[in-house]
Amino acid sequence: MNAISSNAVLRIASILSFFLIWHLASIFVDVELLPGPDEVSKKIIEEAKSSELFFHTLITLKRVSISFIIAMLIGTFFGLYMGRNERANTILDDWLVLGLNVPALVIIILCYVWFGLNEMAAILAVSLNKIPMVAVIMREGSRAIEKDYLDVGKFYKIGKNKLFLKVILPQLYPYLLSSARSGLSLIWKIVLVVELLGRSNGVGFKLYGFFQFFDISGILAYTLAFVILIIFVEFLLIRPFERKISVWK
Amino acid sequence: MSFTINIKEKTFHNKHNNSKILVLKDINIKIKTNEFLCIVGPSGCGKTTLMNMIGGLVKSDGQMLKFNNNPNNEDENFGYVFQTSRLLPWLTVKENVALVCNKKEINEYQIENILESFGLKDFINYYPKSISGGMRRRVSLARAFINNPKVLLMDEPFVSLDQPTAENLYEVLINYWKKTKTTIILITHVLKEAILLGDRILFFSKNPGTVVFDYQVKSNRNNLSVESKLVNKEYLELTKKYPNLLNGLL
Repeated sequence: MNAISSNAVLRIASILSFFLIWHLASIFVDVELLPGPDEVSKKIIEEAKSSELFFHTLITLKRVSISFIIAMLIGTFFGLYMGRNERANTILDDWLVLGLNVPALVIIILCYVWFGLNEMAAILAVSLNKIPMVAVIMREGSRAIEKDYLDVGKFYKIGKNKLFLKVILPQLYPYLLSSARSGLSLIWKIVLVVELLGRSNGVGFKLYGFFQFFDISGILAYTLAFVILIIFVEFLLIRPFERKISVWK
Repeated sequence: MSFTINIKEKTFHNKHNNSKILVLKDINIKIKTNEFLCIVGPSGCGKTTLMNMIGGLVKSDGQMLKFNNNPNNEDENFGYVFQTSRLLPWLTVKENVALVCNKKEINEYQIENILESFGLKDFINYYPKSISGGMRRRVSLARAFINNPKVLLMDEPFVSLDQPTAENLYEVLINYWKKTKTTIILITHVLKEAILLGDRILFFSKNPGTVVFDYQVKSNRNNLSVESKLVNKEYLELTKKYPNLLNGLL
């Protein structure tokens, strides 16, 4: 058995053991408090049949995507700028510390109070929560750019585009991937809170409804569906990209 | 047709104690076209700074680096073989050479051709990590020659290579140099290497670096080995006559 298929077997075994532990736990705990995988699967099918699951999941996915793109673009810009410019770093460093330490809930509440319970406020709240983290990671990336390689570009007077695409960007890939990964996992969690507090659709809104009726199956069904979606994004987009850019290693 | 370097002084700012460090002083060098000039000097005497000033990586502060009486070095074509190969690890051998091509007329065929002449034909699609240290230096040399430079700067390019690999590279370099009529400035701390390869050797003093001795080499590059009789004889004569030359003292 080669290493790849051996890894696949280990992964499948690990996932199956998770469902097995969940199933066993549901036998010993009150079924109302912890429904088993079979109950949750039934709920997922039920919600999927009524199209509710797709509708709310897609709405949340749209919010996650928009917030993610905004946070990555702005965070990357500020991170790179601060990493390369000592003065900008001195001026903005305390802002970054502030941004990192203001609780997500405070930013969400303030955005809703200042801008109203609307889509723009929701997206803004999520993006503002993530931007400082992206900026910190990208600042480190920008500081890690090898001067020796830049000197090669400078000496041979290669164009700005070529310098960015062939010399600088490949050195930033690990940092972009790291901030994208942590970004996705953090953003979707914040989006749920934003939806729970101030939107009338999305997974967060549905979770609030299930909470009101103490419907644990519903809560787990939507959570599981969204986690599976995010895992698909990781396996279909992020990992192939990572493999492509790491081929030289 | 010559290349002149006149530097009155070059200082660097020391951030730790807010002082200035004098690195180079009173440098007046005239290099003939197609000359192979070697620079030998103790560590920290400013050899690499001088090279980086010529190559434009360190500001010359308006001091004169004149090529064929043209004070505008921007128009001139330089190549640089750095102390380490400085190949971009995420680019293949061919892509590394293609990266620095600054002339539109250089096509893929020419890149493959130069790599072939440096013995890298079978490795053009390899990443630097997958080839040996000696091969990486060859790629570095090919990269430096791809734009047909008028002046090639080489900063200890053979350091940390074993003798057979280094001697193999001497041959590759000398053959290409004879073919292209490039002016070469080579920094080395191995005096025998300088005697073997160079037409002329400039010996630098300790910090601040300045030329203490300008020596015309007698050996003739017939046998490209640092252990050849001619090289050894000249090395012994030189070190006997000037025992402190490698320490920067005449």
